[in-house]
Amino acid sequence: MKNLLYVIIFSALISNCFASLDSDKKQNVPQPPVVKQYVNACLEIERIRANKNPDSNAINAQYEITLPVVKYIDSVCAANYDKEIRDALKKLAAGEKPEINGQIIGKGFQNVTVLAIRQELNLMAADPNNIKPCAERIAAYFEGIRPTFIRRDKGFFEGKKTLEASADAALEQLSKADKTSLLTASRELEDVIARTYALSVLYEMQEIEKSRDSDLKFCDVKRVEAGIFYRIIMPRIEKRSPKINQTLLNLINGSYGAIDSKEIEKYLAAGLAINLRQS
Amino acid sequence: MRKLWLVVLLMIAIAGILIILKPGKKAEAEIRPEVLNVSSSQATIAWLSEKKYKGLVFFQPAGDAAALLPAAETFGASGQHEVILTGLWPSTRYTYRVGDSKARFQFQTQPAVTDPFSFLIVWGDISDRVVPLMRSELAEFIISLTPPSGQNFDQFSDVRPYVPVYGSSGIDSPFLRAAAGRHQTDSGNLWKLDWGGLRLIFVGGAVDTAKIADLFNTPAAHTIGIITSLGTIGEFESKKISESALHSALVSHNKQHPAKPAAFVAVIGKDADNVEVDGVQYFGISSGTKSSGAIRIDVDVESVRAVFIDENRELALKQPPLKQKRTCEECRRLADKGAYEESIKAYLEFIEAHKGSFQIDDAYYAIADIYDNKLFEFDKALTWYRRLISEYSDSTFTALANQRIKYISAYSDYDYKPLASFERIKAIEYARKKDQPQERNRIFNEVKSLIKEYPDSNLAPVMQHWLANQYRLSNPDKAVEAYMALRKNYSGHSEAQEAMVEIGETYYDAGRYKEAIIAFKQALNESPALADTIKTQIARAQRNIRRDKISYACWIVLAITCGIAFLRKPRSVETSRIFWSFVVFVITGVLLSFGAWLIHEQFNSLKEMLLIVFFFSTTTAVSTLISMSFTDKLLAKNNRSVLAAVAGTMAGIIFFLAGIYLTIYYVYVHYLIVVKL
Repeated sequence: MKNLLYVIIFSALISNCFASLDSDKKQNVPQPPVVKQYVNACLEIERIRANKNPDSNAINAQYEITLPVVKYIDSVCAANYDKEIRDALKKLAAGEKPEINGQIIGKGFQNVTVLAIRQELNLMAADPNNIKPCAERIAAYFEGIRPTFIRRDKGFFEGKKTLEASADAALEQLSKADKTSLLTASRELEDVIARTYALSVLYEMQEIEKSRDSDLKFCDVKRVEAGIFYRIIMPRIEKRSPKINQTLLNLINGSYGAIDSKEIEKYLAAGLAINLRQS
Repeated sequence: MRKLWLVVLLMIAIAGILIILKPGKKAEAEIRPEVLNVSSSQATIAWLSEKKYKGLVFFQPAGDAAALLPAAETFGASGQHEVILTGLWPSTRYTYRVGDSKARFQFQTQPAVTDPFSFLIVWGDISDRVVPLMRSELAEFIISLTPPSGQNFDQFSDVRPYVPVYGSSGIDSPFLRAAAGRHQTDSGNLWKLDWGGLRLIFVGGAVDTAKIADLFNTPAAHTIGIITSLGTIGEFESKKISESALHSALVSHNKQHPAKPAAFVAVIGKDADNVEVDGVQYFGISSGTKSSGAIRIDVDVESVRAVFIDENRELALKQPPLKQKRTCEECRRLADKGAYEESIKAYLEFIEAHKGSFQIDDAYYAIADIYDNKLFEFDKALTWYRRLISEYSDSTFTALANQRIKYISAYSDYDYKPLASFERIKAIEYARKKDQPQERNRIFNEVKSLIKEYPDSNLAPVMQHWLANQYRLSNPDKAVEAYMALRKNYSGHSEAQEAMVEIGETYYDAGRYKEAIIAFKQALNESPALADTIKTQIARAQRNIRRDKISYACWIVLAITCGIAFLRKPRSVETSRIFWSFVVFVITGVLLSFGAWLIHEQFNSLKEMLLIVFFFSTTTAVSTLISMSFTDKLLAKNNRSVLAAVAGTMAGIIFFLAGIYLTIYYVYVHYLIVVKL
């Protein structure tokens, strides 16, 4: 009888311990060590890509490390990033449009990372038991996109840590959130991510404005970058207003002579319902 | 012994359970506010408390670092608090907290009439889904078709601090229910909710159509929607619906106000189905047959759609007049292969064949774009851009068309001749041949001739500026000459405003820092508005001059220390000294390689890392050799060993510092920022 009691108590204890992990495991959610490896590999790929002659074998090797996260996002978001990145890797290795394919790889990872963060926010909202582990993973994922926040702070806020500080504050709030305050923290994080990538689109369009009279090849690369950045914020804009989304797509893909970054900023702000320059 | 083990295990198990269940951490009674009565400029935050006090709310626009604004309750201390926040911006999200509470919440003000927004219609028990739904669907309010249970359980408690919740007979609020007597919560079987440009009318049963018609008179709203029950329309069938009193009222309104139509009717109690009757979209909400569900309604000026979240299905409730969009693939293919005239012909045929049936604004834009950017026939391009804007004013291409109209109109003088030539040069010749120096110069001369031919044209300063910018990439002197010409000939033009700054930047890019500083200083006088940027540039130029000077000084230091160490008599260097220097080189090399590998991501490339490791190790080894050689020579001259050792070490350190500086200066000069040089 005593033995039975012990068995029941231990079973209860163990099942309690693993209860919160159970839902994660069912969905093969990448755990913090895997996320950290993924983030490091993404940063390493960016570093290799920055070289004049990027070593495609080295990028391939790093890409294998990122695969668990890329495949997980492909499965939960019905996306196709694995194929897209592999295609770009092949083209890069063959020397085909290296600037453009390099951007597809680099910025593709930013898409995957933001989708991974959104997925973690969904898991949090679905089950309050997930808040803490999800917040840890989100913090780990964020390191992969932090360089973009630093760059946009430098370009749009004179180096003052505006976006980066907002993101860090939101991450901190998220780690402390409960079921009710979760919405505030997750919205704040989503807002600062949206702002950063909207400013990234804007930055690329400003670069096109500067170079459209002299360097069309550079403009082509910048347009690809803008397109990939826009893909990150497009679902939110499309949900709010399909018309604003279509207008923005037309503006981004319009002839270089017709591109007007001020007009694009206006539509981005309207589409996201956010003041992009708020300091 | 066995019993003792069992007791220990039992205690561990109990402790584990206690830690997991955290019984001591039972949630304190936290304030759960509700958002009530949100308009475009104010919102009411309400909550209940056991103790009586005067409520206070602090708020600020979300994401704003500005200080929190306080808003206090109007009446005295009570246990039922209502705080009205005023002076808000439309369509803006605000973060707020109640009193000293740490919990922060957000609400969104109503949008302006023309701004888009979304809301949710939900039914059944969605308590497990309500937070995820609010997060993913970005709804501004919720309509619940299930009456509140009346028990303590409130399935919306987690989202009430964020959005107002409405029921079929008015606002659904535990606060208002608790404060019954002060407030009337039941709006009866006919009431309206205005949100942005939408007026939602709730019809709870058989009602007087005249009363419904009264609710249609909405000067601001662009769309009217009805939520009603199956009983109001009889049966969910076109014929029966068209005979209903409600439908007659809707049709009559739509005839009088076609621009602000009653676009849809949501019918509660009908299985998911939809039918369009006289331009009004009726759709069923199966609140009875399915235990729970949610529909998101997206509202924009010209379109409204219902997204059935659980069914992965969308339904257009209101559409622009020309709803279908088709693209002429053949026309586009012709344009892509350079057959522009044929492409235009094909587009014209496409327009003729589909006019009035499809949204063909993209065909208009494509024709305008071909005339504009491929054929450089700007008058025709303008015609098509203008036709696009007048015939499809709501097109998503109008922003682009407006940009081009503005640009082309600004440079339309001389019958577009300078514009056509310049655009052709830029888009075709320069894009293809700018990497061939001879061709590039020929193109520049062509632009110069254009400026000479049309010196008074509106485009002349633009061309002059373009010329200067292109020279800047290959010939700084010619660039400066062109910028000076721009300043001289077109001094009042906007293109010339920053020419002096650009001259400074041209010199800076060419490494001619002294000339850059002179130019920047002149620019500082001319453009005080750019003072911050110019001062930064001057500081950067001065810093680079300083770095150059330090590098020259370092070379001199190296020459002197080497000269004294190796050329001064006795000139020989002991083999053992060279051996030990080599040992230093190897040890330093290994240590630095290991350290550099640890922080390898800080370097721009592997080559850069290896160069720094190699030259740092070499400098260390040579400075050791110099130190020893210097000491030996001083010792040979007099016997003061301590002084000789100190002087030798100093010489080694000076050589080492100079060597390190030069390594960084030549490998990657920006690392000098680390030591504030």
